[in-house]
Amino acid sequence: MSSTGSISSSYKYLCRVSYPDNSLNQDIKRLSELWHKVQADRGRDAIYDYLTAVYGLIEWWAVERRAVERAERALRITGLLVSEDPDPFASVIAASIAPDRLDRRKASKYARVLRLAFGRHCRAKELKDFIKNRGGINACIAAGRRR
Amino acid sequence: MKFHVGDKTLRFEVEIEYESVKDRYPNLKSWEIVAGILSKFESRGHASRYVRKDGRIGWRATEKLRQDLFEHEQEAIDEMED
Repeated sequence: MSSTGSISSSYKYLCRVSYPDNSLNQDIKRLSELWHKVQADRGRDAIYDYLTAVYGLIEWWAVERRAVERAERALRITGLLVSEDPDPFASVIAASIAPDRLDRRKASKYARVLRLAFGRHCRAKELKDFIKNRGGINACIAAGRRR
Repeated sequence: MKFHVGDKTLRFEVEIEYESVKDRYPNLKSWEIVAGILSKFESRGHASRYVRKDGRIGWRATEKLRQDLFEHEQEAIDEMED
């Protein structure tokens, strides 16, 4: 995964704290709990909490330039199939939802909108506004496709 | 090496742990102690990292830490009342 622009410029700020499997597992577990909470919430905006949390995790993985390697680990830890050079957003979504399965279209939609935001150097804090200002998840993807 | 713990709850917990680790391992540098504590907190699901505005990595308490602290507090109150 390329980490360009503002995020890669901060590569020098590595924090020198190891990130073993049990820490990664805790992060996935946290997302998984959030996913279930979001599922129980009927609010239209609830999904943004989950998407922001996924984005925030990949954001700091990308600062350390380890997003792809950690995405592979996340898939492996949760017993999912590891593809070659997996997309970190899709992988973390799959890992945090496992053993449940999200329908493929929805999962791909979420991963795509996160990739789009990442490509535009959006920060996790601004993700909800980034998507909503572009008309929501579907409109945001459609606009990204037109570019 | 400076760590950015931008969260009062987590900072407080790290400071408590720091004193106890420092007494046990006086030869460790302070950044090594803090790195070890943050790593331990993270592996328990009590801390998570995030990217700060300035691009550096910061640390904050998770919902799980807040929940666990709340439960401990409730237990302590219950014990006092018994």
